[in-house]
Amino acid sequence: MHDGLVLDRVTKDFAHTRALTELSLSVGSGELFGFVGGNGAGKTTAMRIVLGVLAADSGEVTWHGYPLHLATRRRIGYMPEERGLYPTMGVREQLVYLAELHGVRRRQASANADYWLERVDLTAQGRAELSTLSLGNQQRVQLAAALVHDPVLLVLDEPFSGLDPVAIDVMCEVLREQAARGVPVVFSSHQLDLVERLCDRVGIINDGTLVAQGTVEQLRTGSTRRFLVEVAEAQTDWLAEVPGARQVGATDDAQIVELAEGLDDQELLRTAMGAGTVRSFAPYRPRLAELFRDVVDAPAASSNGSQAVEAERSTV
Amino acid sequence: MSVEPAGASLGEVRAVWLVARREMVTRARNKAFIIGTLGVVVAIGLIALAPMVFSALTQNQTSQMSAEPELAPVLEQVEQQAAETPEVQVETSDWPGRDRAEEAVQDGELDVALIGTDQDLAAVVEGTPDPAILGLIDDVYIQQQVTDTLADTGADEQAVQQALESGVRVQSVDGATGMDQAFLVGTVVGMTVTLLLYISVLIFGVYVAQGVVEEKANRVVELLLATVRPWQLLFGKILGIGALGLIQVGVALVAGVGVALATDYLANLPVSFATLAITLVVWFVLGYVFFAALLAASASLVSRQEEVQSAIQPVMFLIMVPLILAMVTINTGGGTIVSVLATLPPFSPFMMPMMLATGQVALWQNLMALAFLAAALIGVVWLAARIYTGAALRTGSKIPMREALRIARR
Repeated sequence: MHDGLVLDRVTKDFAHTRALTELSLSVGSGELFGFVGGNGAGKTTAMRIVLGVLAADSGEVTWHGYPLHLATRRRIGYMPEERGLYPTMGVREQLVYLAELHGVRRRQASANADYWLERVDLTAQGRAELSTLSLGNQQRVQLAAALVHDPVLLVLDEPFSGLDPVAIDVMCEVLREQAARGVPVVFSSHQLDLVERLCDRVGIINDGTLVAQGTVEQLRTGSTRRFLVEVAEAQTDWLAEVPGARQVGATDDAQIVELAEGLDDQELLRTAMGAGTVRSFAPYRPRLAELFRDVVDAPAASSNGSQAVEAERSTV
Repeated sequence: MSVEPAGASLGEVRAVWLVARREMVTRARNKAFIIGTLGVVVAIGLIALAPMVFSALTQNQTSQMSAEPELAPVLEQVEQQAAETPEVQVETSDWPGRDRAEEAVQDGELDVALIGTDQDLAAVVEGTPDPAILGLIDDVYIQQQVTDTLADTGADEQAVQQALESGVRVQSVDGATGMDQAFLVGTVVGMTVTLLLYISVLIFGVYVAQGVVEEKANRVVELLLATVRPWQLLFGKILGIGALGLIQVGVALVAGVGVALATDYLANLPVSFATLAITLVVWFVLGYVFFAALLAASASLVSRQEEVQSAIQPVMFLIMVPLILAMVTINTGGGTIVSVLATLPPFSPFMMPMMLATGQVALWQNLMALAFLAAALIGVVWLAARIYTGAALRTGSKIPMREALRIARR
């Protein structure tokens, strides 16, 4: 039995579009799972289904092997994509209220609210109305709101958007700390460098399905072999002499070369040395951003992309 | 075998209570609510004062009177009786002396000077005096003459006094028509309670509608519905805001009681003020929940504050029509159809309390109409919860009601 959150072939249709097609993924205890994908890929829809604010057409969401229901969902910490709190209510008062609504008794709720206000550095603003705070500080309150009831699972939709660098550090620290406590953390983000830095595992979603899933290392190593080759004073087109090799990109001075399955990388090196002075030759591991672009730019994706954007918009 | 992970428990009652408490606490601090409550008290005071101001303006001023020392008993009697007659007010002043009396009347220092003797009394006045005061003097003089005369013959003084005070009792054949005091008070009180109900239901019902849309507009509803059920959120909101409404209605009733005690104004009501107040509270509670549920459901179909007005228009119409019908038919009754309509929602909350105040319906008819409203309430509340459930999480353009019901069914 899985000890975390499992989405099993979850499908969701909207009036004119399919938002999710048999989406499956799992997040284990203490794992930081980054959910990346273009706008309208289905991240928000998937998260809303986990929270039960949207119902799946088919498929199942389980937690420790049991379907989620309202009582177990109360223990999830949620940050919706569209941020929302009461603008005219006091910050601390609001956190206490939300904790109580999640089944925490009043005394504990007050203690939790104070703790989290201090963690996000807003103790002094506790009595202020939310709307009087800066946008960045409102985001911090939103984070506190997701954590104030001691959740056992965190589902955060774009937690980093709109945060200043200091707040981003606070957020990273809090997420790591929660994962260290054994809380599975699922979050979506467009900031791929952050995802790369923070996550144990990453899922790339495109057009309603998970197209890649694994640790960042696994994804970066991937199935294709790439090399970063820097050849000074090279004759043009030396690469054409190596069958099965092609250039897939370039840095300032070097070429990124992809080598087909079963070919000898030493052959590539020898040819390069013949063509000029090899300054560097190393296996190349693409950044997550590049992987992501590769996946999303795959031919099938672009045509349905715009429709999916509409679908997501109509739900939020 | 693994054990299902523990959830967080939140009882239904506690969920509704938490939501209601938030509504009460945050709104009671609101200046609009505090000012509104004070406004109601002031309004009640003004409504109560209006008849007094009106009578003060239409009544003659106090008559200054004086009499020769010999006629002092007559003057004393006039003063006594004037105190019991609301339309005559008398003030006495010292006798200026026979020579000065006429002059004083001429100068306006005195309105009436009684001169002469016990046997031959004359009232010195200027111009055309107030007939009421002259009538009163006449009555007192005749009474005194008769008693004096009969006293000499040894008649039973008390019986004579009683006989003199008897008068014709007016009995009207068509119930409470005509502008008798009781009906006038009933009408004023009836109008007041109807307007009080109307304003309270409207203000607090619209608060609910705005609150529903506010939560949709700032998206907090998504956070809330991940932990409470839609109906718990809806009823918490309706009950919390309703409790504030009840406080305001209660304050108005207390102000009304205060006015009643101070002015004796409500003594002529066809029902006791206590009965009226209790039924009024029940009418407010049921009527408010009825309309607030409808307002909340219609408002939940839209996502922006600007759209609330148009979204709740049909329900506003349902509130307005009974009020107009109530005002139009307050004096005439309006026949069988109106009487039947008045017992049914949405008419009953605005028509029944008024008709009770004016004596047009009995208490049992009110209770029957309340039972009808309670029955209708079950259906309305169920429908509202369904619509709200289907619509609360959908934002964007206005959701067709059928669509909301379809979503809720799932």
